[in-house]
Amino acid sequence: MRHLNFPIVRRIRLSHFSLYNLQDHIEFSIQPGTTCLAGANGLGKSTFFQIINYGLTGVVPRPGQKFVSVDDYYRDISRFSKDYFQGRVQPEDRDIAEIELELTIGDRTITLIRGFDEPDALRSLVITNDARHFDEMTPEDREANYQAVLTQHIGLSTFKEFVFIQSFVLTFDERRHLLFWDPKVLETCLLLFVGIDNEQRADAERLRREMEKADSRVRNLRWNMTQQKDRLDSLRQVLSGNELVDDEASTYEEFETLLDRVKERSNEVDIIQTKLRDAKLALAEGAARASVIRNDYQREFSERVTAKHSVENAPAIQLALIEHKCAICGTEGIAVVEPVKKAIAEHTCPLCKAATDRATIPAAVHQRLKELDKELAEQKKRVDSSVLLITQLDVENDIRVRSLETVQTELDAFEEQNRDVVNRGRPVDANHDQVIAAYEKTIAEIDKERLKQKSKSAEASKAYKQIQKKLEQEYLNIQEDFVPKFNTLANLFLGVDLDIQLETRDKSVTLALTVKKTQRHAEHDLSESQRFFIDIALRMALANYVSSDTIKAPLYIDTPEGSLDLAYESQAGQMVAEFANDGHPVFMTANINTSELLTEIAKQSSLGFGLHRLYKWRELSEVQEKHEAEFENRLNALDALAHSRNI
Amino acid sequence: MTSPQAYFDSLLLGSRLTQTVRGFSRSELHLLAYASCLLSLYGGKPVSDWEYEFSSTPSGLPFSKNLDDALDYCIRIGDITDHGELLQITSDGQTNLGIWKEHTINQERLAYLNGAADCLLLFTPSVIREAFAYEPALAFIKRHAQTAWLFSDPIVDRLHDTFGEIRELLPYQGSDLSLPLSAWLEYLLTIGRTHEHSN
Repeated sequence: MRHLNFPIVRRIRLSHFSLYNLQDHIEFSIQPGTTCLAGANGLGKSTFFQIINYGLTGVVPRPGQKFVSVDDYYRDISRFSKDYFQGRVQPEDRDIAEIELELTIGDRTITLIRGFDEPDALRSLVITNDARHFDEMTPEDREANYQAVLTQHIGLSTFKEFVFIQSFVLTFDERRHLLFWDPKVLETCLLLFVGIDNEQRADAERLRREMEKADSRVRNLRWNMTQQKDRLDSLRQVLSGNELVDDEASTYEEFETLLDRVKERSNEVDIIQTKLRDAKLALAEGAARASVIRNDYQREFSERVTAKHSVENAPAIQLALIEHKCAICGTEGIAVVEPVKKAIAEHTCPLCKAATDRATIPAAVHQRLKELDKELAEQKKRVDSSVLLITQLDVENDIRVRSLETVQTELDAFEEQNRDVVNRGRPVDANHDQVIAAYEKTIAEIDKERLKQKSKSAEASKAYKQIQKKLEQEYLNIQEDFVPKFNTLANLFLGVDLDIQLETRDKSVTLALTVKKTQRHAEHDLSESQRFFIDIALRMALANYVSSDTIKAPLYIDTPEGSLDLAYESQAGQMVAEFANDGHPVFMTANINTSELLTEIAKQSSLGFGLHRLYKWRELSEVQEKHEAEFENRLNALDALAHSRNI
Repeated sequence: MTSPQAYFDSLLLGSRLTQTVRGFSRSELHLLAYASCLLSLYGGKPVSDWEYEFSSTPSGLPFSKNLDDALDYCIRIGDITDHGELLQITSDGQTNLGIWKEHTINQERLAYLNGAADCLLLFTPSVIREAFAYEPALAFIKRHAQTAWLFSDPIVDRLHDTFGEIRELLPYQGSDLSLPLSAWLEYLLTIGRTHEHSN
């Protein structure tokens, strides 16, 4: 039998928490029995709950956080606390806002102070009977020491396990997370409470995750395989088809004739277009060549013919004509120009008096120009020929393309009208065989992977079953104490026979609830309020089971009444009082109007009932202010009732 | 660098002008070469095939630098002589014309050059000059005293439109290109003179 000694909060001191703006410091001690924080809607009851949990654990449970394993859960919520307190603590208060908790655990008293922006650190730590100087340590080391001391004295293996139990078992908060209807959480809870060691508990979580992953993969692969098989079947069906009957065969023949005609025309168009491309290429080549020859002709003409005839272009003559200077003797003046001009006009050389070749083109130059001209003429013929051919081919191409379009339109219309016959008549070709082979290969590969994943899941399942078996055996040992406790508490609330049985499923071991001998697995089988209190009863039974005779585990219950009617409020009150009277500290919040619940607790609590007025901490809304006196009257009545009971 | 085509055109048109009107001015030679180029365009040739370009002087007359250089060359080598205000082809020029006429490169242009020159049988050079002065592109340039290329894309497009109309109007489409040119010149003169008269 495993006993866990959970810390009991004895005193709370909250400083400069901006949300509760009427008081800089809120401080009160928690007496044995039940402590209730009463307030109206929206005043911050749930926040106060999270503040206590944050003080204890350094984390705030994130609403809707999926649970996979103890370690993952701690990792996933550990960054949430900063987000949670943003807006609840103003930036100017961040350095001075803090929660101080005094708690007892075994024979130790721990007093800690934690800031709201420092979840991984403690501003102060004092532990009785511990000689270490925590004030000389870094805030982070203080936190580490606190976690170690707490874990050791509770009797757990890791601080993360404490966070898990505090979040899911000892606290019923605004998340309204229900153990009965979350098999994974409940199984981890049972593993922890029956005393399965930490490694095996972690193994169970790992194996469960592996199974889930492998099974999910198997499902996906199976789906994928079905898809592939369906496609293959469809393909085979299309390919196999039905034999064409006589009329259909004749229709298919007609289709084939049209198809042949299209192919034939298409082929003709291809031939013409190839010729056209060749002719255009020849034209481009010819035109380029003609251009080169033409340029050669131009250059030859300009350089040879005109240069030869330009006597005045000679440098000596240019000197005489422009600068009036003789290049031979150096004489200067206008007298130099006249004889030169006269000689040029008479077509004689100004120097040697020989006749200049004024009208006759040098024979060699002329010959070269004639050759180029001849070449150009031939090239031009070729270009003209190409142009002519292109013109003819263009006309021919137009005719062929139109002809192809006509036959293609005819074929399309025929195919549209006889689609079924055409599809079925098409012969199977080698390509289809390849496609089928590819499908078959894919299916085989998927199946291979599916079997591999299945085997992986089976292996994990086998190991997991061992742990399940151990849990079942341990549960047999605890059920004699645990189940009657649950029955008593739940019966107090519902007033009917209730029972719980361990139920082993493929991927979890959970507790099945029986109401009037009928199993109620689904959430909708019970009303919301019934579910809340039955789940609270389960937590109470678990807390009671792990507690030692001297140290009873506490329970934190946030506004549990929901939509309970008056009769059930009273019974719920009896259930809470029964648990508290057994020595379990209960810290709860409640709406002031749920007087029957609180009255019953106050009336029934033998160990005390402490009432704190949350509306004194924060400004009320206009509507709430109107009823403040009424709040006060009701709570005074409760105080009086509790006082008389305590006396 | 003298263009062989411009040289040949100078000789051919110089020869025709000397034979027909016993001499010519530089501007008349430019005018007939421009008319020849227009006929080549009319005949379906691209403008670039003419091998040299024309611009318009601020006085609204066509001018080609290549042709002017070729003319200078002709005068220098004695193919064309300068007789006072008029230019004339010489016997040397006639000899050279005979030589260059044999070249295929020049034969392509003969039809257009002769077509333009044939108009001299119907119109004096001054009348041809007057007619072209009414040509819309040249008239616009003259009005605005601009210098501009005469075969820019918009001008060529409009010329093609005009030529298309001329083709429709002329029932006979022979090889004699003087006919469409004469028709066009006649049209320009009629429109231009009517317009001036009305103003």
